[in-house]
Amino acid sequence: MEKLRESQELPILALDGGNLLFKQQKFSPGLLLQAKITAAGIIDSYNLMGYDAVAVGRNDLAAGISFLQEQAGRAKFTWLSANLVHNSNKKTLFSASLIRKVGNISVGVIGLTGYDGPIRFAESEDVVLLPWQEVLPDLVADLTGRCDLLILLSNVGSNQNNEIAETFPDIHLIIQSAPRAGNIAPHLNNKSLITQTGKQGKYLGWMTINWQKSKTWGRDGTTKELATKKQELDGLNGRISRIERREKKEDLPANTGYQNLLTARESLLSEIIFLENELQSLKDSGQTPATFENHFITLDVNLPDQPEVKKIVEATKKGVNTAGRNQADESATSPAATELQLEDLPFTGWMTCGLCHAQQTAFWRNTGHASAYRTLAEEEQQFNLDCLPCHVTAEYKDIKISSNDAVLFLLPAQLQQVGCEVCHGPGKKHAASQDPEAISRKSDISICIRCHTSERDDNFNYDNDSARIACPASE
Amino acid sequence: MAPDFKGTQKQITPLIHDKGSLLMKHLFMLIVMTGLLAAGIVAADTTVDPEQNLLLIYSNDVVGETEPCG
Repeated sequence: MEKLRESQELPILALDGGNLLFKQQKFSPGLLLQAKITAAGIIDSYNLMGYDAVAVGRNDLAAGISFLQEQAGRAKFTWLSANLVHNSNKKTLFSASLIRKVGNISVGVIGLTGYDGPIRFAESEDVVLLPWQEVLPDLVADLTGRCDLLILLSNVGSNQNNEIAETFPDIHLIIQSAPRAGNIAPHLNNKSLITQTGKQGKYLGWMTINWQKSKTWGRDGTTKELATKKQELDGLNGRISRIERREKKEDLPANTGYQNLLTARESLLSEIIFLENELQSLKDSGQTPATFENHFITLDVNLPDQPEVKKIVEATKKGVNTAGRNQADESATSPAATELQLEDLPFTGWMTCGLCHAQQTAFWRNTGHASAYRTLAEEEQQFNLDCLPCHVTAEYKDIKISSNDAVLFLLPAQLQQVGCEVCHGPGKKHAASQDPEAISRKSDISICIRCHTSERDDNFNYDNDSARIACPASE
Repeated sequence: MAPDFKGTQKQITPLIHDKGSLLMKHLFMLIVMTGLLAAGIVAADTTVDPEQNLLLIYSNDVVGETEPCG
């Protein structure tokens, strides 16, 4: 972003579609401290990056309204939600919109929180989330007269955004944060341009906009056609000057190729003049269409970190891990610790598997799964419950050691890795009976994608990767 | 049929310039500019009003998963 700011030398507006604080709508109350530390780190990073506004996403409500309001207070940017309102007086909890002067353009930005039906908030919170149909008509009518360019930061789904575009031609740009992973290049629906970047830090979108009084994105090809004609003219001039340098001046009148090029140039010049006049008259009448150029930057891991943001991220990770470690220390003396005895768990651990399946266990020990917990510990993230569940043996399909993730801190060493039973299912019964029916021989994709999500593992390919880690058959 | 509206979209990945490629880039630009001057080309008039330009940076939870667990 710093490089963009330096290289483009244009007035800047930076916006984010929301869902900053939580990756999903569910939240475990036992993780409140970790959530606070993470939220603070994220908001501080956004402050440093110079964001102007962020929409309140549906996931941002995961820990409740008061949590969000408390965290939102440290933001230097504006949180926007036009449809999150007090039930009693229908006033918005956050700003519904803002108007910012960017260069010479007054830009209005509206925030819309994701809505796929009524949400049950705690009665004490006096909050209701309204559908866009109830809030946008008045807001758009009000802002249309007060700003040049109107942007909607929309956390609602793609279909709803298409409906919004068809209903409100005065919304010029919809930046959506709909729940899908990929980039959606800007496309016109009615009068609105709709775009989206890939979520969760994979991409950054940037768009240079030449906004015009017409407040309309260009549909005609005049500017493009003019540029093409000028390119053609460049080429013709080059060919003509090469012939002029090569041939004697007195031979040129008889040179048919040269004469044809001159005729073509005359014709092209008159077309260019015509197009330029057309554009000038559009400009004079205030009808010049607005144009844009859009880019998606891949936020590759090799990109250098901004030192100040890196400091915040490292401090946040450390803080989350420390909070988890403290929680683990407390848990160790809690009743849960005494409940968590290996002999009572459905999982038995890789060492037991190795007693009969030595060859397969030896193969597994050379895979990344075997060192999954160790790599986490090396990063000092073994007490981060955002990470830990995917680095231990504690879950298989709908079987889970506990609904309380904090119990994972208490796992015995035999389960501190992605062991055999993550793919083959809990092996306690199989180990006791040696009944082949009591264990699953083959894994399936649903197990893998619990952790190998597109956000975490772009390159995951079930066929290739499962073949790579499949245990060898017994000799 | 999709409307033919102006604007382009590009998927780009960051480029790392080393000194060699930068030199080549400058050399290439010099050649192009020399060629244009020889051909008597004058910089094209622009229909863009510089005061109406802005740079919009937008993201979708940009902090997200940029920091892997381990």
